[in-house]
Amino acid sequence: MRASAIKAFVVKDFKETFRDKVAVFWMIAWPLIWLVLTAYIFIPPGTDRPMTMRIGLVNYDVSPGFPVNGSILIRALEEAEYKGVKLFNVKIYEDKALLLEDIKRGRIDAGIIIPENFGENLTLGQTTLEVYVGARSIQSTQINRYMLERFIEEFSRVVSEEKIAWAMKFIPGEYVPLEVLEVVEGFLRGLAKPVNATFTEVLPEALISREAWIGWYTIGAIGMTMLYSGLNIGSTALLEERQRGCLHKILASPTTPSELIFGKILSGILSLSITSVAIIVFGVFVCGAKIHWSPLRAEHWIAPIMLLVLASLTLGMGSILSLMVKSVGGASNLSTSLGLMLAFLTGIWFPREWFPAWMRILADYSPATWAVDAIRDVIVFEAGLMEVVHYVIGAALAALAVLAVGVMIYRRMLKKYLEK
Amino acid sequence: MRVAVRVNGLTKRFGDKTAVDKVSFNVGFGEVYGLLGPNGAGKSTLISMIAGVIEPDEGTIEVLGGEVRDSEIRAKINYCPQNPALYDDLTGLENLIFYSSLYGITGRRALEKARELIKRVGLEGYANKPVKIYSGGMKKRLNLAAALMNEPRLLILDEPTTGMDPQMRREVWQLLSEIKDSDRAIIISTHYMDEAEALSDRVAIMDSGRIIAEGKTEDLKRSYASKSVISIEFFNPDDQQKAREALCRYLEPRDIVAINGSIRVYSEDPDTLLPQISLDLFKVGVKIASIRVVKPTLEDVFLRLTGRRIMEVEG
Repeated sequence: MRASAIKAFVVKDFKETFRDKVAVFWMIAWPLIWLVLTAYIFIPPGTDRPMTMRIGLVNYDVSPGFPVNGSILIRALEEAEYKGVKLFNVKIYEDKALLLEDIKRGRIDAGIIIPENFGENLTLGQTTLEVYVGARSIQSTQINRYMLERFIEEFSRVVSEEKIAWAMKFIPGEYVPLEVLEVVEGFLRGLAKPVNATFTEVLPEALISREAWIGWYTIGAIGMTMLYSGLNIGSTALLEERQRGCLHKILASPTTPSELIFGKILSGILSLSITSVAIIVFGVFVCGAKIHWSPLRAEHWIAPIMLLVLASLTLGMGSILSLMVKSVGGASNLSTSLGLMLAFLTGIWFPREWFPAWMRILADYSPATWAVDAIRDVIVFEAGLMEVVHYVIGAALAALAVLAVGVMIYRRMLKKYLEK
Repeated sequence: MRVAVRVNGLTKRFGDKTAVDKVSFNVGFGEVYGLLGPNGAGKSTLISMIAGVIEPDEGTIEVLGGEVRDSEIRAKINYCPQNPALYDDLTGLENLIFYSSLYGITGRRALEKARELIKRVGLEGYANKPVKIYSGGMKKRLNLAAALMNEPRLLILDEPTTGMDPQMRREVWQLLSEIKDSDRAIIISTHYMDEAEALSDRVAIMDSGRIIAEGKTEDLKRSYASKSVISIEFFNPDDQQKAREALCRYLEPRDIVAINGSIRVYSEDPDTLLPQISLDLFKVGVKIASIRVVKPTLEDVFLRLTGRRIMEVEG
């Protein structure tokens, strides 16, 4: 094969592609629009911070003589924090009816009615609280209810500790041995809270940051673009030359079918690679995606290799698609629809965890998703080589097989086109 | 004659249809060889086989002393398709450089050659403009320039002036006559008989995939037409049949061809025959709109061989 002929196709196709406004829109602008929408609308800044609940309170407690009363509950609500963020935005109401009205209108998420003698009952025995949770949706009800339950549980625990300490003062130490005192105190604490569970968060750090999510979607945008653009380039590579009337002239030159096919595949890979780099640069510098890539880290080289694999795979799939189309317009429409559909259904654009079980099978067995997931795991979630090796091998073998079939199809089509 | 192209018994079938049927001819260096015939005669298929784009089912092609599939031989030939094979988003220069790269001509050499040819086809002002803004004629000229980038020893032109206006056609003819060279052979397919006559040293007339006549244009006319043609047109087209029947009484039917409401009579002695025809037609009541003696053309050769016209002459 002659390098000059292959280079001629690569240069020619590259110039043509990036001078065509429609191609530039689909290959560059469209994925960037999606990224911006994702970064600033679907995952807006602040999404990864703890949520603050809007809560209303009506305080009917008038028991100032007791150490604990309604005001202490209000202060505890106002001071509650999680990771430096206030958990409750407290609004005081004069009347229960007004509070319920605001819950119904969605102005507050929940309301607490502190009853008369709250402090007295809390100090001397057991008190009650009326809690109203806005039920706008199942998820919001679940979250709001959980947050308030957790708060009241913690408030109860603190009050219990105080009450136990206070009660222990009434047991005369000079008559009761210290060991017995400790057993009694332990028993009382057990009554207040029989199980003292500890909770430790072990969620992957990368999954919960907004930057990592944008990184996830940045690679998803590359996968999506590769799917429809690769299918498009692959399905129209020869058809376009034929439709323009250039195929006969090219093959009347010393150019061999292999040089033509190889040149076309290489030019497709080059265009898709440039698109990928543009999306990554935009994702990182404009949308704030968290993506790590260092040429000094061997496992990071999996990302560019998988990009080439993904490009080859989609171009090969495009060549198979070309068997079903008769015009460049038809091929473009079919490629775009099919590419977008595959991106949405195979876990490339939407996380597969969102899908019903039967749909996850599509993602589990899609080589394009393997390649995209390998890239995500390595440069977004900093996985090691061994963690993604199964994806890498699977995607590479699939790409080789599909590309080999594609080259055979191209050869068959060339013969068919020339003799038509 | 040094032979540039030797075609022997070439046959190509597409399913049940035989597009080219046992065609044989030679083309010498320094010669322009015309393939004349109506659409569907098999010219483009024949040309595609000579250019090595499609393979024949039977027969042999020897080009420049070798096998056309040989890349070294292909590097010395070029093919100019009927419709401009150009990329609209590339400039004129970029198109030429792309095609020259396919022939291994790259870098400065390609750029200089492209500039020279752009100038030669009169597109200097448009060299760096995208082809999508070119007119049809400009594209045809650039298409021709692309076929000259490798200075081919065999140039194959498929209907180079189809769709052009008369002025543009003459410009292309002028260009082709300039590139004619003693070390270059040119094969040109056309359905314009005036083009075949103006450009070709020898012509092969094709019909239904076969060469039905071949030779120098004057020889063909002499062999298959006659010294002169008496062309008769009528006021009333219905008179055509009546006139033909009257003339058949004393002329050979094969010397009378009725076409498009007129009659052409092939004769070696028109001076004697013309008054006689006028008188005889007057006697049978045929009203003649015009009667004149004209020189035979290749169209007449085709007419006499097939009874059909190649096509309406443009311009």
